[in-house]
Amino acid sequence: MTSKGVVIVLGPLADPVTAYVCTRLFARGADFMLVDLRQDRHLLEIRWTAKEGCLSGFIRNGSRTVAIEDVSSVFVRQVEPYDIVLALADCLPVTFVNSVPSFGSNSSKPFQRNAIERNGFHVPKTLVTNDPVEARKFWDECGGRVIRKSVSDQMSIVRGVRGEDFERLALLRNCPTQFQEYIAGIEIRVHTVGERVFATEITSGAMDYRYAERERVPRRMRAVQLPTEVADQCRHLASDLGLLLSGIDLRRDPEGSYYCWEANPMPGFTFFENSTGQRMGDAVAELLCRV
Amino acid sequence: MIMYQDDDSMELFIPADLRPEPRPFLQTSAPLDPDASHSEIQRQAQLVLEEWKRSGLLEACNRSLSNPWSCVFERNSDVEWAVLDGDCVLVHIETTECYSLSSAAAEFWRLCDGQRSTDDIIEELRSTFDVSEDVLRPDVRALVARFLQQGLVTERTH
Repeated sequence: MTSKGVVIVLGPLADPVTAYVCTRLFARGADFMLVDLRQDRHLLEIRWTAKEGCLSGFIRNGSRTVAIEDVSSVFVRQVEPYDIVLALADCLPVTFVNSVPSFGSNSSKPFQRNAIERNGFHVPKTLVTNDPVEARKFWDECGGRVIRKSVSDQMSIVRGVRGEDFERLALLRNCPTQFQEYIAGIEIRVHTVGERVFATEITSGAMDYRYAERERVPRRMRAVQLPTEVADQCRHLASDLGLLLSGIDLRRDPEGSYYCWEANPMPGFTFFENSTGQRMGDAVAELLCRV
Repeated sequence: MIMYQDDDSMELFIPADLRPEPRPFLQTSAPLDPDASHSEIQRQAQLVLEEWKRSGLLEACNRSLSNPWSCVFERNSDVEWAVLDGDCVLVHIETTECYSLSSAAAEFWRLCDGQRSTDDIIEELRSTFDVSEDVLRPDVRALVARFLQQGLVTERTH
């Protein structure tokens, strides 16, 4: 059933994912209010009160005012997590893609790792450390097949740790880093949208397929069907983390085991939709418009 | 508990060139007027998406090729192709993806024979389609990037 309420889209239109969600909402004939939180705050007015468990108030953006009870859902993208508009959105009994507590889970990969393991995925051997000696020991234990990435949600390009990196290990004292055993296999990016699952298989010789061009190797992406059990694990992981929209990074090893690296709470799904034709934007719009 | 300084100049184990700026568009774009009409939002959203697709392809091309004009490309032997009712259709055997090419793209594809450089191909396309080089080059660049991205062609290195 489709909602007659107003979808609040919080994000910059210059962001392609936000722009795409807007176009899909248009395509559905949905009513929405786009709020770019970088705008002059005097043009944005928010007021709400809670009385006997009920919220009332409004959001005024420019000359348009939407009563809180008319808000049907909220989509958020590329905003600071402590914004007052998000605090309001977190209070509303509406679909929220994705709420502040849920997208915060990605700021700690070790936290996510526990959820990943809890939901039945294989996880690679992992070390988070700021100790150069421990990092070197881990590298030896893994036979030199180790990758490194940031511990937090700071974007980093995944690379293997090689002998020439040893002289930089002392820099770990400046910031802990996550090291993981390299797992050979095929990359699979899974997007969950509510209960729907979209899987993309990525074939690339690059260590980090997102940046295959840097290594001058081709990247191919195609839509695939996951085994039912794995699709369910993805749904459960997203649900466990409170994510109505997620981008889950898997790798299928040569024996057919599925390893999970992380769940991205603000996935750039347009990148994958553009290559595979999977209608994820429509699925997001449908989720936002559902009663 | 270990505290870390929030200092951008501090050198980290993961070097700066492997920590890309995640939201470059936020620095270069102004926020939308809150009173923009829905049709204006729709128009601007389409522009953003077109620019995103275009710049993504160009970036892919720029990163993978220092000078695409002198490069020689050859068709991937895993790609079967045929002209059916005037349409050039490609099937990538490994990925099972199918592609239908416009007439200009089809001609570019046909000329990717592992012998001609991109500059050579552009010369031939100019005479075939009677189009200026200024118009042709950005399109060819985007096409090369897409073909590379989809594994349809490979760069011949020797």
